[in-house]
Amino acid sequence: MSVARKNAWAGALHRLEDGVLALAVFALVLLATASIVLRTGFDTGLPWLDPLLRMLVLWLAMLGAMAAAREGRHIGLDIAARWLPALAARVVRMLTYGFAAAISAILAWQALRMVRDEYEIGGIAFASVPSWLAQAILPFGLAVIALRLAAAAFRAPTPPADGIPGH
Amino acid sequence: MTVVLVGLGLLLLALLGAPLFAVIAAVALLGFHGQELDLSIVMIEFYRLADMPVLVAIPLFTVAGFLLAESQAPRRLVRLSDALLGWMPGGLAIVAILTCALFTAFTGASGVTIVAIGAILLPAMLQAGYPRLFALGLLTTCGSLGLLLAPALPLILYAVVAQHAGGAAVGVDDMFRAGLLPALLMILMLGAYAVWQGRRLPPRPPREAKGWQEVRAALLDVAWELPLPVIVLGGIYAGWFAASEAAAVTAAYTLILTVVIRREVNLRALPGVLRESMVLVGAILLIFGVSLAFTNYLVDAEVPARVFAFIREHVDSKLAFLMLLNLFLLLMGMCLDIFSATVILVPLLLPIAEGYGIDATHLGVIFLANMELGYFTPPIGMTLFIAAYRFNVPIWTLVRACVPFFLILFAAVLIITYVPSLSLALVR
Amino acid sequence: KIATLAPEGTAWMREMRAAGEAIQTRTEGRVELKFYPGGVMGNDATVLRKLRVGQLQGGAFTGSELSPLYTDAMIYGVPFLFRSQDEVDAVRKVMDPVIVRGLADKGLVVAGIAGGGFAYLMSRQPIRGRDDLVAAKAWLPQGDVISSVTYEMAGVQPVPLSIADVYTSLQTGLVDTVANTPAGALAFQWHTRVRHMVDMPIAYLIGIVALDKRTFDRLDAADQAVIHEEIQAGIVRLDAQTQRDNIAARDALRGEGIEFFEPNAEEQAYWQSIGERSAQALVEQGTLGAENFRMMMAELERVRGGASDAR
Ligand code: NA
Ligand code: NA
Repeated sequence: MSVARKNAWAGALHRLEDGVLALAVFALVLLATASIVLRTGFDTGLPWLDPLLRMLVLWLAMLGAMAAAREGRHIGLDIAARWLPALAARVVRMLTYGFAAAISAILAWQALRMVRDEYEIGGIAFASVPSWLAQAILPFGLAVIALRLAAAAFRAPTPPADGIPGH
Repeated sequence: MTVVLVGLGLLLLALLGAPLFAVIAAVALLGFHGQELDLSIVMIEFYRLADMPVLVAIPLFTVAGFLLAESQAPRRLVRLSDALLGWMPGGLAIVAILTCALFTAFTGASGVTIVAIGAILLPAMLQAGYPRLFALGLLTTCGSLGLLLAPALPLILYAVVAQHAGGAAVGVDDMFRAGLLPALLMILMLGAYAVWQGRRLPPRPPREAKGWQEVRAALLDVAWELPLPVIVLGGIYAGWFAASEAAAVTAAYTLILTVVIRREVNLRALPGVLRESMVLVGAILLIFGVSLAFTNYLVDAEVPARVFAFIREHVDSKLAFLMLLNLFLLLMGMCLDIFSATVILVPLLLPIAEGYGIDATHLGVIFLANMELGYFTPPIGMTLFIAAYRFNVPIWTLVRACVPFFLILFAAVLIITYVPSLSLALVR
Repeated sequence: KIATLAPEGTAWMREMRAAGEAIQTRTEGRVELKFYPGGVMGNDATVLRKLRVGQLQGGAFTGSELSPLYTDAMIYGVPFLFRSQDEVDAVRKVMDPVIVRGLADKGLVVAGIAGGGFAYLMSRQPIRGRDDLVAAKAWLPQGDVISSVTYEMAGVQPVPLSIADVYTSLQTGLVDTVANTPAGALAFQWHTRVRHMVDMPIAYLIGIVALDKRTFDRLDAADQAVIHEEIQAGIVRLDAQTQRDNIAARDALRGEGIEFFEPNAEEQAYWQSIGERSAQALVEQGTLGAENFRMMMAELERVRGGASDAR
């Protein structure tokens, strides 16, 4: 695949991801507001709404963390990066992001084990949504984060000229 | 030996800029591995994020904060505070201190204050001519200011935990009253510093409209934004809404305000703003999730209990104990989130502290005051990271910016610790 | 390692620790119980997950918290069923062994079942009848199917939360109506957030101390017996204490200015009809085992019949 094609694909994927994220935010605001309107205006509510909101927060967090990993924008210290010469900074970047990618991969694997266990037990998160489905974002999101951090490890770090740490 | 080496290695990785969530997760994974426990416990703990109703407020307030920051709201806020407090040196800084303190009182110091309000106030303060380091330091510090102001959740949680832990009668209302004067002390000390800094500001250019006319014009200018503090403060203090409901109303109102009414965030830019806000939520909650696992490892391995056993053995005077307590709590406040810290530490601390003759209510104020300070204690205080992220500046800059504020509040914490009557005057 | 939601300093934790020490002494240190009180190990769903992966070897649960594993563990939660402690005592003699067997099939050894007492509805606004309850923000214990069906029958839309989140949610106003025993309400500090109580028992609460079967089976028979004996002894001490506590707690609630409301006969009959319809629906949808439910009702009939014969 040519570089241009590859970038086009990546671009489309990122737009899709951003779209899903924006929609999820809208859903959160809408559902949370709807819950209040139902409760105060009509003295009623939907029993699955509150657990759904809580699950949505987890999903938003993971989607947001995936987006952060795409740009290598996770919260971290940046004291050393500012003082190191370019070559050393590259090596340090490989080391630190490689480490983070490995840890994310381990977490993804452990999350997958948890989801499998939950699937066997057949727990219910809310309404008829099984817990394993609610948890499924964890192994998926962490695996994506692992891949993205691994890719970021090989990119040259842009010096944070008073920019976002690690950006 | 291996433990020390691995610990140093992780510390080095953290200092070299490894994503913090990975470092904390690594500690938790290694810890559980050392206890010969199943490593999926880390993710079981992480999944508790979906069990916490309080967390729903975080993305909602964050979205609102990002949208407001993107709009002209900060400029209007400066105009209003200028009209109201412009005559006073440090007026805007004092507005910032009070707003943050009130906001934190009901959001808890989960970083929401910085995300939602700090980002509006920073451009405002820079516009008003405050030195950049001063503005950054003040706003980062204010991220946890207000923890001692009723009805902050930590005050309630402490009362609940303490009542069971020591059998001492610590009422929620006691804690509300006990926190008031210490909180005012902190606000006053920061305010005095702000006034002193404000005196050195360049003289403001004369405005055309002055006095009440300008106040009126500025008020009209922010007419659409004014319901927001009413929703948030009035809604919760008057009991119309739960905190998460206030967050929902705030987010919905802000969305309509900035996109439809003011049209200062256009539809094409909207997904980008929403995405940016969730990147922040993701980065924060990822750390919070793995820190739940880390805390659980500490609980499982009974680390706090061992530390306390050690203290009990080696410290005998009340003064020495208080001094050690301050250092210890500062360290803990830096590492743990306030809710975990309260649940884990208070039951262990209380019997020991009472043994040294320290009042349970006073201990609560000391505890929370230290936690407040711990939030921006370098190098790993939580709000430092959130602020660095939100204000788009390196941590190192923030650490420097926070030093004077840290010293001021550290002095306040010492006064609070060694003058029990400050906490207890309103209780008895 | 045993997790419990009950906070440190409660009678529950005192007796459990006492039992733990006795077990350690009598087994000459072969069995040591470590307690993690105050919900530091997470809510019930989290604790069950941790039992499966072996971080914990036991936990204290309410009947409804174990219902995801074995639905009939919550059978005493059928609303408006019992009218007195005597009825409960008689029924429990028959039904406790059924629950123990049911949980054993799911890999849990029941070391003891403690009686928690009757739960009452407590609220911020007075609940004088059906309409008041419909307007309330009622707490639904997460995963508690019986309460869910009951609220549905009464036309109420409750807010599902884990018990660990109830206090903060009362504080933030997410819920304003809860159900618990008087002593439970005091222990969790809920009494500071409610003003009214409906003086009519809703359901009977139990606390089940359950241990992981895999770990338990590795102990030798003598040590297993010691665990059973000591936990049981602790629970016997607790039960007496709990009944006293609940009576004292009623006075304490009154002293805190909480208003007691006693529904009239008509209202009581209405609530009881809700209870019957809920039970029927639960059995029909297979949530409660039909066999076990019949067994419980038969025993209840027998007790009530016996009581009326004596009169
Ligand atoms: Na923590
Ligand atoms: Na902290």
